[in-house]
Amino acid sequence: MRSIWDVIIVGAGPAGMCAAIETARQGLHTLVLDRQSEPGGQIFKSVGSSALVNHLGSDYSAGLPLVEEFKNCGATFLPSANVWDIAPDRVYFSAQGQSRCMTARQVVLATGAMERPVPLPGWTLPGVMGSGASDILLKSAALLPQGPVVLCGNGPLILQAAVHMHHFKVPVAGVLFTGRISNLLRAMKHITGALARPGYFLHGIGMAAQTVFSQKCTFAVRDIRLEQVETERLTINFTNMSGSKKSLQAATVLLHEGVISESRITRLARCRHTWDERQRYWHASADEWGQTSVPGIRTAGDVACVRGAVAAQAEGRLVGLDVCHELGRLNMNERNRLADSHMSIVRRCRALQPFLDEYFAPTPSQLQPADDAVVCRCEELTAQELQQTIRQGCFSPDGLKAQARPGMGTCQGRMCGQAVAEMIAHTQGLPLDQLPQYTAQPPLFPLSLGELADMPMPPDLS
Amino acid sequence: MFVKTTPSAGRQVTIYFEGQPLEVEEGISVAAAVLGPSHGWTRTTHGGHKRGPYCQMGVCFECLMTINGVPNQQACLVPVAEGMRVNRQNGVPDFGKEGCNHA
Repeated sequence: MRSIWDVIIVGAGPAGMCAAIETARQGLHTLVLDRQSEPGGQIFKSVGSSALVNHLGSDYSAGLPLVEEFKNCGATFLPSANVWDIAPDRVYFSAQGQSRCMTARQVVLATGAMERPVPLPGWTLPGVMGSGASDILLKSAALLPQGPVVLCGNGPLILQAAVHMHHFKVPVAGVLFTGRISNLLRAMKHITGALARPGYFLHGIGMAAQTVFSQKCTFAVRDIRLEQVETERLTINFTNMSGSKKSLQAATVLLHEGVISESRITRLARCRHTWDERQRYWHASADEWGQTSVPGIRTAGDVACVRGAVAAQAEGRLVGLDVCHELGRLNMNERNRLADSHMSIVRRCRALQPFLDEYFAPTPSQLQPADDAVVCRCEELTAQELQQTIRQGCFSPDGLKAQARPGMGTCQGRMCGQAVAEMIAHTQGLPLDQLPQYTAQPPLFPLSLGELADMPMPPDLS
Repeated sequence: MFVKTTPSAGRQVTIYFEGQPLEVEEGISVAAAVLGPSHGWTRTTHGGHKRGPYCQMGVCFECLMTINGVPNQQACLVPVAEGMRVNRQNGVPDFGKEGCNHA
Protein backbone atom coordinates (compact mmCIF):
# COMPACT_ATOMS: atom_id res chain seq x y z
CA MET A 1 0.00 0.00 0.00
CA ARG A 2 1.22 3.50 -0.84
CA SER A 3 2.10 5.75 2.11
CA ILE A 4 1.66 9.14 0.42
CA TRP A 5 -1.94 10.19 -0.25
CA ASP A 6 -3.77 13.24 -1.51
CA VAL A 7 -6.32 12.92 1.26
CA ILE A 8 -6.68 10.74 4.33
CA ILE A 9 -10.16 10.54 5.86
CA VAL A 10 -10.53 9.26 9.42
CA GLY A 11 -13.91 7.60 9.89
CA ALA A 12 -16.16 5.74 7.42
CA GLY A 13 -19.54 6.88 8.70
CA PRO A 14 -21.92 8.99 6.61
CA ALA A 15 -19.63 12.06 6.57
CA GLY A 16 -16.39 10.19 5.83
CA MET A 17 -17.95 8.02 3.12
CA CYS A 18 -19.47 11.05 1.36
CA ALA A 19 -16.22 13.03 1.51
CA ALA A 20 -14.35 10.04 0.05
CA ILE A 21 -16.86 9.58 -2.75
CA GLU A 22 -16.33 13.20 -3.84
CA THR A 23 -12.52 13.17 -3.65
CA ALA A 24 -12.15 9.76 -5.32
CA ARG A 25 -14.54 10.84 -8.09
CA GLN A 26 -12.11 13.64 -9.00
CA GLY A 27 -9.21 11.19 -9.10
CA LEU A 28 -7.57 12.11 -5.79
CA HIS A 29 -5.71 9.29 -4.06
CA THR A 30 -8.00 8.79 -1.06
CA LEU A 31 -7.42 6.61 2.01
CA VAL A 32 -10.23 6.02 4.51
CA LEU A 33 -9.41 4.59 7.94
CA ASP A 34 -11.98 3.29 10.43
CA ARG A 35 -11.81 1.50 13.77
CA GLN A 36 -14.73 -0.73 12.81
CA SER A 37 -14.45 -3.80 10.62
CA GLU A 38 -16.86 -2.45 7.99
CA PRO A 39 -17.95 0.95 6.65
CA GLY A 40 -21.16 2.65 7.80
CA GLY A 41 -20.26 4.22 11.12
CA GLN A 42 -22.68 3.74 14.00
CA ILE A 43 -25.80 5.09 12.29
CA PHE A 44 -25.43 2.69 9.34
CA LYS A 45 -23.72 0.00 11.41
CA SER A 46 -23.62 -3.34 9.51
CA VAL A 47 -26.25 -2.07 7.07
CA GLY A 48 -24.76 -4.27 4.34
CA SER A 49 -25.08 -7.46 6.39
CA SER A 50 -27.84 -6.82 8.95
CA ALA A 51 -30.62 -9.41 9.10
CA LEU A 52 -32.96 -6.60 10.15
CA VAL A 53 -32.21 -4.08 7.42
CA ASN A 54 -35.90 -3.92 6.47
CA HIS A 55 -37.19 -3.77 10.06
CA LEU A 56 -35.40 -0.75 11.46
CA GLY A 57 -36.89 2.02 9.39
CA SER A 58 -35.92 3.94 6.28
CA ASP A 59 -33.39 6.10 8.19
CA TYR A 60 -31.30 2.93 8.54
CA SER A 61 -31.85 1.27 5.16
CA ALA A 62 -30.95 4.60 3.48
CA GLY A 63 -27.39 3.64 4.34
CA LEU A 64 -27.37 0.66 1.96
CA PRO A 65 -26.95 2.54 -1.34
CA LEU A 66 -24.45 4.90 0.31
CA VAL A 67 -22.25 2.06 1.55
CA GLU A 68 -22.41 0.45 -1.91
CA GLU A 69 -21.46 3.74 -3.57
CA PHE A 70 -18.57 4.12 -1.13
CA LYS A 71 -17.27 0.60 -1.72
CA ASN A 72 -17.19 1.23 -5.46
CA CYS A 73 -15.93 4.83 -5.43
CA GLY A 74 -12.23 4.07 -5.87
CA ALA A 75 -11.08 5.18 -2.40
CA THR A 76 -8.91 2.73 -0.45
CA PHE A 77 -10.68 1.57 2.72
CA LEU A 78 -8.65 0.22 5.61
CA PRO A 79 -10.89 -1.26 8.33
CA SER A 80 -9.93 -2.01 11.97
CA ALA A 81 -7.42 0.84 11.88
CA ASN A 82 -6.94 2.94 15.02
CA VAL A 83 -5.62 6.44 14.40
CA TRP A 84 -3.47 7.37 17.38
CA ASP A 85 -1.80 10.61 16.35
CA ILE A 86 -2.43 13.29 13.82
CA ALA A 87 -0.69 16.32 12.31
CA PRO A 88 -1.67 18.61 9.39
CA ASP A 89 0.16 16.42 6.86
CA ARG A 90 0.33 13.03 8.50
CA VAL A 91 -1.64 10.33 10.27
CA TYR A 92 -0.29 7.64 12.58
CA PHE A 93 -2.40 4.52 12.96
CA SER A 94 -2.36 0.94 14.17
CA ALA A 95 -3.83 -1.91 12.11
CA GLN A 96 -3.33 -5.67 12.53
CA GLY A 97 -0.91 -5.04 15.37
CA GLN A 98 1.38 -2.82 13.32
CA SER A 99 1.70 0.94 13.47
CA ARG A 100 2.35 3.05 10.40
CA CYS A 101 2.65 6.70 9.47
CA MET A 102 1.20 7.99 6.23
CA THR A 103 1.29 11.47 4.76
CA ALA A 104 -1.51 13.39 3.07
CA ARG A 105 -1.99 16.85 1.59
CA GLN A 106 -5.36 17.11 3.34
CA VAL A 107 -6.63 15.30 6.44
CA VAL A 108 -10.38 15.00 7.10
CA LEU A 109 -11.57 14.02 10.58
CA ALA A 110 -14.99 12.38 10.41
CA THR A 111 -14.93 10.37 13.63
CA GLY A 112 -18.45 11.19 14.75
CA ALA A 113 -20.07 11.41 18.12
CA MET A 114 -20.75 9.39 21.25
CA GLU A 115 -23.52 9.10 23.81
CA ARG A 116 -23.04 11.66 26.57
CA PRO A 117 -21.87 9.76 29.63
CA VAL A 118 -23.85 10.89 32.70
CA PRO A 119 -22.68 9.09 35.84
CA LEU A 120 -25.35 7.89 38.27
CA PRO A 121 -25.21 5.31 41.06
CA GLY A 122 -25.20 1.84 39.54
CA TRP A 123 -24.47 2.81 35.92
CA THR A 124 -21.47 0.47 36.00
CA LEU A 125 -23.58 -2.63 36.75
CA PRO A 126 -23.87 -5.48 34.24
CA GLY A 127 -27.25 -5.12 32.54
CA VAL A 128 -26.91 -1.35 32.21
CA MET A 129 -25.95 0.00 28.81
CA GLY A 130 -26.28 3.01 26.56
CA SER A 131 -29.48 3.14 24.55
CA GLY A 132 -27.44 3.82 21.41
CA ALA A 133 -25.24 0.84 22.33
CA SER A 134 -28.29 -1.40 22.44
CA ASP A 135 -29.25 -0.06 19.01
CA ILE A 136 -25.80 -1.02 17.67
CA LEU A 137 -26.34 -4.60 18.94
CA LEU A 138 -29.72 -4.71 17.23
CA LYS A 139 -28.29 -3.56 13.89
CA SER A 140 -25.09 -5.58 13.92
CA ALA A 141 -26.08 -8.80 15.70
CA ALA A 142 -29.91 -8.83 15.78
CA LEU A 143 -29.77 -8.77 19.59
CA LEU A 144 -32.54 -7.30 21.72
CA PRO A 145 -32.37 -6.52 25.42
CA GLN A 146 -34.08 -9.03 27.62
CA GLY A 147 -37.23 -7.65 29.21
CA PRO A 148 -38.44 -6.15 31.31
CA VAL A 149 -36.48 -3.14 30.10
CA VAL A 150 -36.37 0.33 31.64
CA LEU A 151 -35.45 3.20 29.31
CA CYS A 152 -34.14 6.23 31.09
CA GLY A 153 -32.93 9.59 29.86
CA ASN A 154 -33.52 12.36 27.39
CA GLY A 155 -32.94 12.49 23.66
CA PRO A 156 -34.26 11.18 20.36
CA LEU A 157 -32.54 7.80 20.83
CA ILE A 158 -34.79 7.08 23.84
CA LEU A 159 -37.83 7.50 21.61
CA GLN A 160 -36.28 5.35 18.91
CA ALA A 161 -35.47 2.61 21.45
CA ALA A 162 -39.03 2.73 22.81
CA VAL A 163 -40.42 2.34 19.28
CA HIS A 164 -38.07 -0.59 18.57
CA MET A 165 -39.02 -2.33 21.85
CA HIS A 166 -42.70 -1.98 20.94
CA HIS A 167 -42.09 -3.26 17.39
CA PHE A 168 -40.16 -6.33 18.59
CA LYS A 169 -42.55 -6.91 21.53
CA VAL A 170 -39.91 -6.56 24.24
CA PRO A 171 -41.64 -5.91 27.60
CA VAL A 172 -40.87 -2.40 28.88
CA ALA A 173 -41.41 -1.72 32.59
CA GLY A 174 -41.25 2.02 32.07
CA VAL A 175 -39.77 4.95 30.17
CA LEU A 176 -38.29 7.56 32.49
CA PHE A 177 -37.73 10.95 30.87
CA THR A 178 -35.16 13.16 32.59
CA GLY A 179 -35.74 16.34 30.52
CA ARG A 180 -37.28 19.43 32.08
CA ILE A 181 -40.89 20.26 31.23
CA SER A 182 -39.74 23.84 30.51
CA ASN A 183 -37.58 22.54 27.63
CA LEU A 184 -40.69 22.46 25.45
CA LEU A 185 -41.33 26.18 26.01
CA ARG A 186 -37.74 27.06 25.16
CA ALA A 187 -37.87 24.83 22.08
CA MET A 188 -41.09 26.44 20.82
CA LYS A 189 -39.21 29.70 20.19
CA HIS A 190 -37.40 27.82 17.41
CA ILE A 191 -40.44 26.09 15.92
CA THR A 192 -40.15 27.89 12.57
CA GLY A 193 -36.66 26.47 12.17
CA ALA A 194 -38.00 22.98 12.90
CA LEU A 195 -40.39 23.33 10.00
CA ALA A 196 -37.42 23.60 7.62
CA ARG A 197 -37.42 19.80 7.77
CA PRO A 198 -41.12 18.93 8.10
CA GLY A 199 -40.62 15.23 7.33
CA TYR A 200 -38.04 14.77 10.05
CA PHE A 201 -40.04 16.86 12.51
CA LEU A 202 -43.24 14.84 11.96
CA HIS A 203 -41.30 11.58 12.20
CA GLY A 204 -40.05 12.70 15.64
CA ILE A 205 -43.54 13.70 16.78
CA GLY A 206 -44.78 10.33 15.55
CA MET A 207 -42.15 8.46 17.60
CA ALA A 208 -42.97 10.55 20.68
CA ALA A 209 -46.70 9.90 20.29
CA GLN A 210 -46.14 6.18 19.82
CA THR A 211 -43.94 6.08 22.92
CA VAL A 212 -46.43 7.94 25.10
CA PHE A 213 -49.36 5.77 23.94
CA SER A 214 -47.61 2.40 24.00
CA GLN A 215 -45.36 2.64 27.06
CA LYS A 216 -45.70 3.64 30.70
CA CYS A 217 -43.95 7.03 30.68
CA THR A 218 -42.87 9.18 33.63
CA PHE A 219 -41.68 12.74 33.06
CA ALA A 220 -39.18 15.03 34.82
CA VAL A 221 -37.62 12.11 36.69
CA ARG A 222 -34.61 12.76 38.96
CA ASP A 223 -32.35 11.13 41.60
CA ILE A 224 -32.01 7.91 39.62
CA ARG A 225 -30.22 5.05 41.38
CA LEU A 226 -29.68 1.55 40.05
CA GLU A 227 -29.14 -1.45 42.29
CA GLN A 228 -28.51 -5.06 41.51
CA VAL A 229 -30.89 -7.39 43.31
CA GLU A 230 -29.46 -10.58 41.83
CA THR A 231 -27.92 -11.66 38.50
CA GLU A 232 -29.88 -10.06 35.66
CA ARG A 233 -32.30 -8.31 38.02
CA LEU A 234 -32.01 -4.60 38.69
CA THR A 235 -34.02 -2.12 40.73
CA ILE A 236 -34.37 1.44 39.45
CA ASN A 237 -35.17 3.95 42.19
CA PHE A 238 -36.15 7.49 41.25
CA THR A 239 -38.07 10.58 42.30
CA ASN A 240 -40.97 11.67 40.12
CA MET A 241 -42.21 15.16 39.26
CA SER A 242 -44.33 15.49 42.42
CA GLY A 243 -41.43 14.44 44.64
CA SER A 244 -42.56 10.87 45.40
CA LYS A 245 -40.00 8.08 45.55
CA LYS A 246 -40.76 5.30 43.08
CA SER A 247 -39.07 2.14 41.89
CA LEU A 248 -39.17 -0.25 38.95
CA GLN A 249 -37.72 -3.72 38.34
CA ALA A 250 -35.85 -4.60 35.15
CA ALA A 251 -33.51 -7.13 33.60
CA THR A 252 -31.91 -4.46 31.41
CA VAL A 253 -31.62 -0.70 31.85
CA LEU A 254 -30.83 1.49 28.84
CA LEU A 255 -29.53 4.99 29.60
CA HIS A 256 -29.30 7.90 27.18
CA GLU A 257 -28.60 11.60 27.70
CA GLY A 258 -28.08 12.78 24.16
CA VAL A 259 -25.18 12.64 21.77
CA ILE A 260 -22.05 14.82 21.85
CA SER A 261 -19.03 15.22 19.58
CA GLU A 262 -16.18 12.83 20.43
CA SER A 263 -13.64 15.63 20.43
CA ARG A 264 -10.45 13.92 21.58
CA ILE A 265 -9.09 13.71 18.04
CA THR A 266 -9.79 17.38 17.22
CA ARG A 267 -8.31 18.42 20.58
CA LEU A 268 -5.24 16.31 19.82
CA ALA A 269 -4.95 18.10 16.46
CA ARG A 270 -5.08 21.39 18.44
CA CYS A 271 -8.08 22.70 16.51
CA ARG A 272 -9.94 25.66 18.00
CA HIS A 273 -13.14 24.54 19.75
CA THR A 274 -16.54 26.09 20.45
CA TRP A 275 -18.67 25.59 23.57
CA ASP A 276 -22.26 24.59 22.79
CA GLU A 277 -24.26 26.17 25.61
CA ARG A 278 -27.57 24.44 24.87
CA GLN A 279 -26.18 20.92 24.69
CA ARG A 280 -23.20 21.58 26.99
CA TYR A 281 -20.25 20.15 25.09
CA TRP A 282 -17.18 21.32 23.18
CA HIS A 283 -16.74 20.69 19.49
CA ALA A 284 -14.20 21.76 16.87
CA SER A 285 -14.99 25.02 15.07
CA ALA A 286 -15.05 24.69 11.30
CA ASP A 287 -16.36 26.72 8.36
CA GLU A 288 -18.95 25.46 5.85
CA TRP A 289 -16.19 23.56 3.99
CA GLY A 290 -15.03 21.83 7.15
CA GLN A 291 -11.83 23.88 7.45
CA THR A 292 -10.70 24.03 11.10
CA SER A 293 -8.31 26.56 12.64
CA VAL A 294 -5.42 24.25 11.67
CA PRO A 295 -4.54 24.49 7.94
CA GLY A 296 -4.77 21.10 6.25
CA ILE A 297 -7.06 19.60 8.90
CA ARG A 298 -10.79 19.51 8.26
CA THR A 299 -13.80 18.07 10.00
CA ALA A 300 -16.99 16.58 8.57
CA GLY A 301 -20.12 15.42 10.37
CA ASP A 302 -20.89 15.03 14.05
CA VAL A 303 -17.27 15.32 15.26
CA ALA A 304 -17.67 19.08 14.85
CA CYS A 305 -21.21 19.62 16.22
CA VAL A 306 -23.91 16.96 16.30
CA ARG A 307 -26.57 17.41 13.61
CA GLY A 308 -27.23 13.81 12.62
CA ALA A 309 -26.69 11.59 9.62
CA VAL A 310 -28.47 13.67 6.96
CA ALA A 311 -26.41 16.76 7.75
CA ALA A 312 -23.26 14.63 8.05
CA GLN A 313 -23.66 13.31 4.52
CA ALA A 314 -24.14 16.78 3.06
CA GLU A 315 -21.21 18.15 5.09
CA GLY A 316 -19.06 15.26 3.92
CA ARG A 317 -19.88 16.10 0.29
CA LEU A 318 -19.02 19.78 0.84
CA VAL A 319 -15.71 18.94 2.49
CA GLY A 320 -14.86 16.49 -0.29
CA LEU A 321 -15.68 19.09 -2.95
CA ASP A 322 -13.58 21.77 -1.28
CA VAL A 323 -10.64 19.39 -0.92
CA CYS A 324 -10.90 18.84 -4.69
CA HIS A 325 -10.90 22.61 -5.16
CA GLU A 326 -7.93 23.10 -2.81
CA LEU A 327 -5.93 20.41 -4.61
CA GLY A 328 -6.67 21.84 -8.05
CA ARG A 329 -9.24 19.34 -9.31
CA LEU A 330 -12.23 21.70 -9.36
CA ASN A 331 -12.30 25.42 -9.96
CA MET A 332 -14.41 27.58 -7.68
CA ASN A 333 -17.39 27.75 -10.02
CA GLU A 334 -17.47 23.97 -10.46
CA ARG A 335 -17.17 23.46 -6.72
CA ASN A 336 -19.97 25.92 -5.99
CA ARG A 337 -22.26 24.43 -8.61
CA LEU A 338 -21.76 20.88 -7.27
CA ALA A 339 -22.09 22.11 -3.67
CA ASP A 340 -25.40 23.90 -4.15
CA SER A 341 -27.84 21.11 -3.25
CA HIS A 342 -25.70 19.90 -0.31
CA MET A 343 -25.45 23.44 1.00
CA SER A 344 -29.22 23.74 1.09
CA ILE A 345 -29.53 20.45 3.04
CA VAL A 346 -26.99 21.71 5.56
CA ARG A 347 -28.93 24.98 5.90
CA ARG A 348 -32.18 23.13 6.61
CA CYS A 349 -30.48 20.86 9.15
CA ARG A 350 -28.94 23.86 10.90
CA ALA A 351 -32.32 25.57 11.03
CA LEU A 352 -33.87 22.56 12.78
CA GLN A 353 -31.05 22.07 15.28
CA PRO A 354 -31.91 24.83 17.83
CA PHE A 355 -35.35 23.27 18.34
CA LEU A 356 -33.88 19.80 18.96
CA ASP A 357 -31.07 21.13 21.13
CA GLU A 358 -33.49 23.05 23.37
CA TYR A 359 -36.10 20.31 23.53
CA PHE A 360 -33.53 17.67 24.45
CA ALA A 361 -31.32 19.99 26.53
CA PRO A 362 -29.67 18.14 29.40
CA THR A 363 -30.94 18.97 32.89
CA PRO A 364 -28.07 20.76 34.71
CA SER A 365 -28.87 19.26 38.13
CA GLN A 366 -28.64 15.77 36.64
CA LEU A 367 -25.12 16.50 35.44
CA GLN A 368 -23.95 16.81 39.06
CA PRO A 369 -23.44 13.17 40.03
CA ALA A 370 -24.64 11.78 43.38
CA ASP A 371 -21.86 11.19 45.94
CA ASP A 372 -21.70 7.42 45.46
CA ALA A 373 -21.83 7.47 41.63
CA VAL A 374 -18.66 6.11 40.01
CA VAL A 375 -17.52 9.02 37.82
CA CYS A 376 -14.26 7.59 36.44
CA ARG A 377 -15.19 4.04 35.49
CA CYS A 378 -11.62 2.99 34.68
CA GLU A 379 -10.05 4.10 37.97
CA GLU A 380 -13.25 3.46 39.98
CA LEU A 381 -13.44 6.92 41.51
CA THR A 382 -16.69 8.15 43.02
CA ALA A 383 -18.06 11.69 42.87
CA GLN A 384 -17.46 12.01 46.62
CA GLU A 385 -13.77 11.12 46.29
CA LEU A 386 -13.30 13.59 43.43
CA GLN A 387 -15.33 16.29 45.18
CA GLN A 388 -12.94 16.14 48.17
CA THR A 389 -9.97 16.92 45.94
CA ILE A 390 -11.88 19.66 44.08
CA ARG A 391 -12.81 21.36 47.37
CA GLN A 392 -9.19 21.27 48.50
CA GLY A 393 -8.47 23.67 45.65
CA CYS A 394 -8.59 22.09 42.21
CA PHE A 395 -9.70 24.28 39.31
CA SER A 396 -9.21 22.26 36.12
CA PRO A 397 -9.79 18.75 34.77
CA ASP A 398 -6.04 18.29 34.15
CA GLY A 399 -5.34 19.36 37.73
CA LEU A 400 -7.87 16.88 39.08
CA LYS A 401 -6.38 14.18 36.86
CA ALA A 402 -2.92 14.83 38.31
CA GLN A 403 -4.16 14.83 41.89
CA ALA A 404 -6.84 12.14 41.96
CA ARG A 405 -6.36 10.06 38.76
CA PRO A 406 -9.69 10.44 36.90
CA GLY A 407 -9.03 10.05 33.18
CA MET A 408 -5.84 8.01 33.75
CA GLY A 409 -7.39 4.70 32.66
CA THR A 410 -7.74 3.00 29.29
CA CYS A 411 -10.64 5.17 28.06
CA GLN A 412 -8.34 8.20 28.53
CA GLY A 413 -11.08 10.36 30.01
CA ARG A 414 -13.68 9.88 27.28
CA MET A 415 -16.22 8.66 29.84
CA CYS A 416 -15.48 11.04 32.74
CA GLY A 417 -14.25 14.23 31.03
CA GLN A 418 -17.67 15.85 30.77
CA ALA A 419 -18.72 14.99 34.31
CA VAL A 420 -15.43 16.11 35.82
CA ALA A 421 -15.72 19.52 34.10
CA GLU A 422 -19.33 19.90 35.25
CA MET A 423 -18.33 19.09 38.85
CA ILE A 424 -15.40 21.52 38.93
CA ALA A 425 -17.45 24.32 37.31
CA HIS A 426 -20.29 23.83 39.80
CA THR A 427 -18.15 23.57 42.93
CA GLN A 428 -15.73 26.39 42.08
CA GLY A 429 -18.33 28.65 40.47
CA LEU A 430 -16.48 28.74 37.15
CA PRO A 431 -18.19 29.16 33.76
CA LEU A 432 -17.87 25.94 31.76
CA ASP A 433 -16.89 27.80 28.61
CA GLN A 434 -13.78 29.02 30.42
CA LEU A 435 -12.78 25.59 31.68
CA PRO A 436 -10.31 23.67 29.52
CA GLN A 437 -10.98 19.98 28.95
CA TYR A 438 -8.49 17.21 29.63
CA THR A 439 -5.49 17.76 27.35
CA ALA A 440 -5.51 15.12 24.61
CA GLN A 441 -2.12 13.48 24.10
CA PRO A 442 -0.91 10.80 21.71
CA PRO A 443 -1.44 7.90 21.51
CA LEU A 444 -5.21 8.37 21.27
CA PHE A 445 -5.63 4.67 22.02
CA PRO A 446 -3.57 2.30 24.16
CA LEU A 447 -0.56 1.09 22.18
CA SER A 448 2.12 -1.39 23.16
CA LEU A 449 5.67 -0.08 23.41
CA GLY A 450 6.79 -2.98 21.21
CA GLU A 451 4.48 -1.85 18.43
CA LEU A 452 5.72 1.71 18.75
CA ALA A 453 9.36 0.57 18.60
CA ASP A 454 8.68 -1.59 15.53
CA MET A 455 7.00 1.22 13.57
CA PRO A 456 8.77 1.96 10.30
CA MET A 457 9.90 5.58 10.04
CA PRO A 458 7.88 7.66 7.59
CA PRO A 459 9.71 8.02 4.25
CA ASP A 460 10.37 11.75 4.63
CA LEU A 461 11.84 11.36 8.13
CA SER A 462 14.02 8.30 7.69
CA MET B 1 -29.49 -9.96 29.26
CA PHE B 2 -29.62 -9.84 25.47
CA VAL B 3 -31.43 -12.31 23.23
CA LYS B 4 -31.55 -12.95 19.52
CA THR B 5 -34.54 -11.60 17.56
CA THR B 6 -34.33 -13.78 14.48
CA PRO B 7 -32.81 -17.20 13.82
CA SER B 8 -29.29 -16.80 12.48
CA ALA B 9 -29.17 -16.58 8.72
CA GLY B 10 -25.44 -16.19 8.16
CA ARG B 11 -22.60 -18.68 8.43
CA GLN B 12 -21.88 -19.94 11.95
CA VAL B 13 -18.48 -20.15 13.62
CA THR B 14 -17.45 -21.80 16.88
CA ILE B 15 -15.73 -19.74 19.55
CA TYR B 16 -14.73 -20.79 23.06
CA PHE B 17 -15.91 -18.53 25.88
CA GLU B 18 -14.25 -19.49 29.16
CA GLY B 19 -13.53 -22.85 27.49
CA GLN B 20 -17.17 -23.53 26.54
CA PRO B 21 -17.95 -23.80 22.80
CA LEU B 22 -20.45 -21.28 21.42
CA GLU B 23 -22.02 -21.32 17.94
CA VAL B 24 -22.27 -17.72 16.79
CA GLU B 25 -22.92 -15.84 13.58
CA GLU B 26 -19.85 -14.90 11.60
CA GLY B 27 -19.07 -11.20 11.51
CA ILE B 28 -20.63 -10.13 14.81
CA SER B 29 -18.40 -8.65 17.52
CA VAL B 30 -16.98 -10.75 20.34
CA ALA B 31 -18.86 -8.50 22.77
CA ALA B 32 -22.18 -9.26 21.04
CA ALA B 33 -21.35 -12.98 20.90
CA VAL B 34 -20.70 -13.39 24.63
CA LEU B 35 -23.18 -10.88 26.05
CA GLY B 36 -25.88 -13.50 26.73
CA PRO B 37 -23.64 -16.38 27.91
CA SER B 38 -21.61 -14.05 30.15
CA HIS B 39 -24.75 -12.76 31.95
CA GLY B 40 -23.61 -9.32 30.93
CA TRP B 41 -20.19 -9.28 32.61
CA THR B 42 -17.01 -9.73 30.67
CA ARG B 43 -14.35 -8.50 33.09
CA THR B 44 -13.74 -7.49 36.67
CA THR B 45 -12.07 -4.24 37.69
CA HIS B 46 -8.96 -4.03 39.84
CA GLY B 47 -11.42 -3.37 42.68
CA GLY B 48 -13.11 -6.72 41.90
CA HIS B 49 -16.37 -5.36 40.46
CA LYS B 50 -18.12 -6.99 37.51
CA ARG B 51 -18.34 -4.93 34.33
CA GLY B 52 -19.79 -5.47 30.88
CA PRO B 53 -19.68 -3.76 27.48
CA TYR B 54 -21.31 -0.33 27.82
CA CYS B 55 -20.94 1.68 24.58
CA GLN B 56 -20.48 -1.03 21.87
CA MET B 57 -18.46 1.41 19.77
CA GLY B 58 -14.95 1.40 21.18
CA VAL B 59 -15.15 4.44 23.46
CA CYS B 60 -15.66 3.17 27.01
CA PHE B 61 -13.11 0.32 27.20
CA GLU B 62 -15.42 -1.63 29.54
CA CYS B 63 -15.40 -4.65 27.20
CA LEU B 64 -11.67 -5.42 27.58
CA MET B 65 -11.22 -9.19 27.32
CA THR B 66 -8.47 -11.70 26.72
CA ILE B 67 -8.79 -12.95 23.15
CA ASN B 68 -6.56 -15.81 21.96
CA GLY B 69 -4.39 -15.23 25.01
CA VAL B 70 -3.86 -11.52 24.37
CA PRO B 71 -5.20 -9.27 27.15
CA ASN B 72 -6.80 -5.82 26.85
CA GLN B 73 -8.65 -6.42 23.58
CA GLN B 74 -11.75 -4.30 22.94
CA ALA B 75 -14.30 -7.08 22.44
CA CYS B 76 -16.81 -4.72 20.78
CA LEU B 77 -14.37 -3.99 17.93
CA VAL B 78 -13.07 -7.52 17.28
CA PRO B 79 -15.20 -9.71 14.96
CA VAL B 80 -15.55 -13.37 15.94
CA ALA B 81 -13.47 -15.95 14.04
CA GLU B 82 -13.49 -19.74 13.93
CA GLY B 83 -11.80 -21.31 16.95
CA MET B 84 -11.31 -18.01 18.79
CA ARG B 85 -10.59 -18.35 22.53
CA VAL B 86 -12.30 -15.63 24.55
CA ASN B 87 -11.83 -15.17 28.27
CA ARG B 88 -12.96 -12.71 30.86
CA GLN B 89 -10.22 -10.37 32.00
CA ASN B 90 -10.10 -10.34 35.77
CA GLY B 91 -8.48 -7.46 37.60
CA VAL B 92 -5.26 -6.09 36.14
CA PRO B 93 -4.14 -8.28 33.19
CA ASP B 94 -0.95 -10.30 33.37
CA PHE B 95 1.17 -9.31 30.38
CA GLY B 96 3.89 -11.81 31.22
CA LYS B 97 2.17 -15.06 30.30
CA GLU B 98 1.63 -14.98 26.56
CA GLY B 99 3.26 -11.74 25.52
CA CYS B 100 1.32 -8.73 24.40
CA ASN B 101 1.35 -8.97 20.62
CA HIS B 102 -2.00 -8.34 19.03
CA ALA B 103 -4.27 -11.18 18.06
